[in-house]
Amino acid sequence: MVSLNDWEFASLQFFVDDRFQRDVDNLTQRNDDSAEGTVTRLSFLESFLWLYTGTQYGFFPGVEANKVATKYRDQLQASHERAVKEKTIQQFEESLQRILGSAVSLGEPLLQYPTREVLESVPKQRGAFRDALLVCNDFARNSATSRLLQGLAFERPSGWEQQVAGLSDFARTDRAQVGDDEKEYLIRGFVETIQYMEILNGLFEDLPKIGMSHLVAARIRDLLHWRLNFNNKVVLDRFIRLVSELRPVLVRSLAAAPDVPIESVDRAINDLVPRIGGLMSKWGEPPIGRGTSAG
Amino acid sequence: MSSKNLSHIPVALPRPDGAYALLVEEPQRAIVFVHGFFGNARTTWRAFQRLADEVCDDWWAQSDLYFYCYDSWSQSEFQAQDFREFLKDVLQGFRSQSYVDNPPPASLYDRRSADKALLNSRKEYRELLIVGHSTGGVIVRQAVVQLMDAYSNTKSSGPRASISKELPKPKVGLLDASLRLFAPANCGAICSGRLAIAGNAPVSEIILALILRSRPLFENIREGSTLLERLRSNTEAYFEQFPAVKALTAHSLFGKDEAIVTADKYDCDRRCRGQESQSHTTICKPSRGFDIPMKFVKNPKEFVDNG
Repeated sequence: MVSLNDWEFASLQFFVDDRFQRDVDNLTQRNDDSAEGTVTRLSFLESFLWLYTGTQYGFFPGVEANKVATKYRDQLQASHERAVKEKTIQQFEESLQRILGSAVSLGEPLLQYPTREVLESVPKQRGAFRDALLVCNDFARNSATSRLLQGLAFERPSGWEQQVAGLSDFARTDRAQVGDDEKEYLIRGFVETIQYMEILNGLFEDLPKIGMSHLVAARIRDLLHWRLNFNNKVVLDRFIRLVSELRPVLVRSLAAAPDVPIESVDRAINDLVPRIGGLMSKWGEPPIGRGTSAG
Repeated sequence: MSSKNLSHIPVALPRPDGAYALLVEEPQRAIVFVHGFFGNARTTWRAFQRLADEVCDDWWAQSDLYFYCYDSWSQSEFQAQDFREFLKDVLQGFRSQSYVDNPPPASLYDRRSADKALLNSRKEYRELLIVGHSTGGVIVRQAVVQLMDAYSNTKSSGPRASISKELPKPKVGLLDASLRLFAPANCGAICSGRLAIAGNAPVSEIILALILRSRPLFENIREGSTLLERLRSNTEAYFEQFPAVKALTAHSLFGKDEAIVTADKYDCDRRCRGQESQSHTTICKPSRGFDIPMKFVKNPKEFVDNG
């Protein structure tokens, strides 16, 4: 068996290598006024919040995690200031905005150590935390998904329009046209986002069942919402538009399947679209009840 | 202070980007997981990572787990080559010359040296298992055939001679690996439209089937494709010639709701019983109520269809 100390140190190291360092590196390369720059800054802030959460609930060693965070205090302050100024900070849940605000204004330690009360009352299900860390890091690292989510929440209307225009006619088997690679990437981003929604919805259901405190599970859920938040009307409308644009692509593909009677195609796709709506409802509260309108 | 149910330590591997390992103190074996199309090193194997600790089983507590990753939206011979390189690193404790020449970038956190030491301290494994899902199975079998090709081109006295050239240090090599495949695409992808009609598979799986049908990759891996036919005939021919080479045979497990790939096997493989209510993407994900994937990796013989 591994000692708890070793586990906590190794978990911090893993988080830094797998996630935090990548966000720091991105910040030095893409910290500009573009939508990508905004996503880069918010992703860095999310990374900081993971450090904070892991430390607050005793999954990371406090002193060591604070050393890592303190080293990047300037970047934290600059990213936070910019997010407040641009009002993109509002992409985060209010509780997370408060944590960020306190961290930059109160000084050291940047990360809160776990209190005795927390250590006694919050069951530390380390396997569940590692499960969440692995999948959530991956969601953040995935370039196709990030690109799509950037488009959904941060692109100007004209930029978004350019991305989705003509998507319904797109089929990769056709002769390649200028811009096809971008369309291909958008489809990939969509498919992978649906997969992450399924996996993460399942994870959020599982976390309390496998011993993780509701408090920690809810925090983890909150940490992801700035990336894909269906309570944001722009995001909701754009996502529904995307499903709507992709519908003909799915219909064409199913119609070409030799083992499907042509009269069943529309019904099958009509059944599929509300299931996507169901995934969206599960992902974000309150339930949207607009899934079928995507058809 | 130690904790029950806490035997694996997470380590981000130097490369490929996104690969990671869960290492134990006294490993007896390495288990290498290779995801398939549309999968990745995290989501495809979801819950294996946690359950390997939670099952409280010595077999799992003595197993280092490596999760390989690659860009799964394309398919090529190079993926098998890249996988072989990764395997070399695993079996050599990440001490190969390529790491000396191209060390990974320094970490923000200075404890990486401890993890590096942990990785480097891996003793030679007594056993190697490779677990593939979907097109991950194709990559693994391509890698095996490539190595057998290398052997047959060297006019040496047997497969071990070529392994020693390819993998100079470890005693256990790719050809000694036991293959456990979940819903492998070795006999071809079909992407049946029935999946969408039945509508009981995960949404992402239905969309995957529909999207995959229109991708160039589908041509490479569809039932009867040249690539897959060649892979099959080469594997079976090598098995005829070298039946003792373990990695030429595989155990494959399918769900009864499989509709993405053809649920079939090579002549040299063992047929396993289909699993009720499992589909292409759920067959490889264990949960508290579905421990079959864990059991299959540990002891596939339990699932062999002797009927």
